[in-house]
Amino acid sequence: MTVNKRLNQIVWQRYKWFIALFVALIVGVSMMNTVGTINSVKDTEKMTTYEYYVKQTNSDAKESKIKNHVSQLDYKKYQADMGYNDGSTILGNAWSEIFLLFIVGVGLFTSLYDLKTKFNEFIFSSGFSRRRYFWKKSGLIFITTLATIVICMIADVGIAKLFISSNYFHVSESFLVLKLGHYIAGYTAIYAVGTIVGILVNGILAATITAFGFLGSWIIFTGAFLNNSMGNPFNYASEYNMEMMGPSVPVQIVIFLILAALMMWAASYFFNNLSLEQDGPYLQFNYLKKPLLIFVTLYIGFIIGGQGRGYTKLSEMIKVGVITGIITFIVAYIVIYRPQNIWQKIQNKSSKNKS
Amino acid sequence: MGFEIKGLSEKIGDKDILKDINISLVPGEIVGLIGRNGVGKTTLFRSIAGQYIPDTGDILIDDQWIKEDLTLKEKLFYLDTQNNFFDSYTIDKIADFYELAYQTFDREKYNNWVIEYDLPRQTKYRQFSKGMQGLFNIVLAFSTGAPYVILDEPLDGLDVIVRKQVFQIIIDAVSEDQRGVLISSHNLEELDRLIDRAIVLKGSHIVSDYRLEDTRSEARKVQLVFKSKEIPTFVKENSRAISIQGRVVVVLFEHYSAELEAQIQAEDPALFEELPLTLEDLFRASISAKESTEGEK
Repeated sequence: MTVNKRLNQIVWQRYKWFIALFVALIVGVSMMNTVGTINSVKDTEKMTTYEYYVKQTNSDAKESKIKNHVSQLDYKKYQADMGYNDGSTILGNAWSEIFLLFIVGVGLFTSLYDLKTKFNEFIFSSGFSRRRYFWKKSGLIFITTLATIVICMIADVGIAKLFISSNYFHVSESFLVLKLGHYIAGYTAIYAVGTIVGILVNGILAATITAFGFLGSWIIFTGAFLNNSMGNPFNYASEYNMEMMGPSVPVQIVIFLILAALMMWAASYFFNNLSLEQDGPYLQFNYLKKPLLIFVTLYIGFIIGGQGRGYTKLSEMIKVGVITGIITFIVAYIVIYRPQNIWQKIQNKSSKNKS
Repeated sequence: MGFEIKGLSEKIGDKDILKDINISLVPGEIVGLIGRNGVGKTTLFRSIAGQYIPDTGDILIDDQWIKEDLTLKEKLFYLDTQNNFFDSYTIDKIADFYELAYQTFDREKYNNWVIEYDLPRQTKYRQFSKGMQGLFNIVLAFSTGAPYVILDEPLDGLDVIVRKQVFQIIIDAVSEDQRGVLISSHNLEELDRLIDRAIVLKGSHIVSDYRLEDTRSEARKVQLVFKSKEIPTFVKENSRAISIQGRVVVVLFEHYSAELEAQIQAEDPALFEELPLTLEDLFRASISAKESTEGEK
């Protein structure tokens, strides 16, 4: 049997039950969402009968003391507004944010499970290439979960199309394809974040907080910053909306895919150079302490300062950025370097609180 | 042919754990690695196995560098008894993983041993007793067919019956299949009966490498009581202290000769007795080199 085949079997033997579990979870969540979609369609249909429309319009007219404008043309517009279209965020409940969280979790799991259960010890002692194992494992887990999500999305839209009257369903195919591509690229980037954080950060809790913290800041702040940096930096919308405000969806897809490729390449590099004696400190690689501290300080300072909602002067934005940067530096220094005296105090305090 | 560690050094944090370690092992040889707790034996094994990335050094297997050809690792087996993924798997499942990792895995031999030692196939490893775990580890090690096997304290915590079974498997594998075994243990008495060579690790270095048969023919363990309080200079220079209690000195002469004996006799010692030399004596002499007779004035 070739090395490739043997490694495929090892990865499969190791992960088949987890993959089955992931697939079952995705299908389960997706089915629940689809049922929710169909129920909401039924409710919508009740509210869009002609009788309901006439009654509602008459009642509105009476309240507003204006002349009733009930007409077939208005009724069609009313129906269309209540239905599903390209701008609708309701479309495809399966395309849910819950999968974002799930995909980060899968990325973290891909890295941390082997580390914590000491399977890395077996792989590193064997004659298999670490990189090859990394790509095979990531490939199998991610491609299977992503494919399941995509199939569920397609099924969800198919079911919606089947059950929703064409009166209410006016979504173009090009929109659906673009949206699907957007989700695939986004999920790939998010999986890559989970994977690389799982390799660099030692400890399940620390890695989880780091991954979700980074993603939260990325999605909320960086998104807002990117959006605003493309227009007036002092004029911010209160809500982040990728479709409406950021770079165009095709550009976002390219950005996500480039980021994902860079992060996965870095993850593969670090996995290949992982030495398993680091057990305890925040990072698996000591030489990354300084660069990470600088990156976190600049990143958080920049995005918080850069978000700058309501600023009228550039100096205000810089002030907030610098203050945030200093606070971030102190917190990050304690977390990354764990100076024994400070760390001990924090641990003592938390154990006191627990007891 | 053989297995060689060349110039291996490993730092953890700022501390030198291993410095310039050179060890060779040939087929059919059992080498014992001995040292005090925390001296770096397990670190050395993990570095050899590739779990730790050493700062310098590499491994040669049958005259080829492992760095250049990773598949050579199939000729080397190391089981980390402290850090392994076994716990949640049955022993047959564990064997499946190793069969995929080692093309030379001998399933028939594995099955025969499992039956012979009555190891329950469908029981999870973590539910095994310590003795059964130890026995299974050895069965697995020698089923892989790897010509070079590294065993980290395989006798630790095993009862006398299991220890005997483990011994038998190791001895058979070495004598019949010409396996090379590098083994660490704190049970020096038992190791003494098993190994051909003893390597002593101390303070991140190898301080001694004894070929036991040669050492036993060349070296002598001698108990001496001199009339004067001072230990004669030639004794300090030519021996390592095993123990010093008052004026009773037990020393190891690594290269004992008729000339040395004549020098001792010339001092007219109150007691001059040759004692049987054990591995423990060699170990004690090695690790107490700095507190040797030179230090006792």
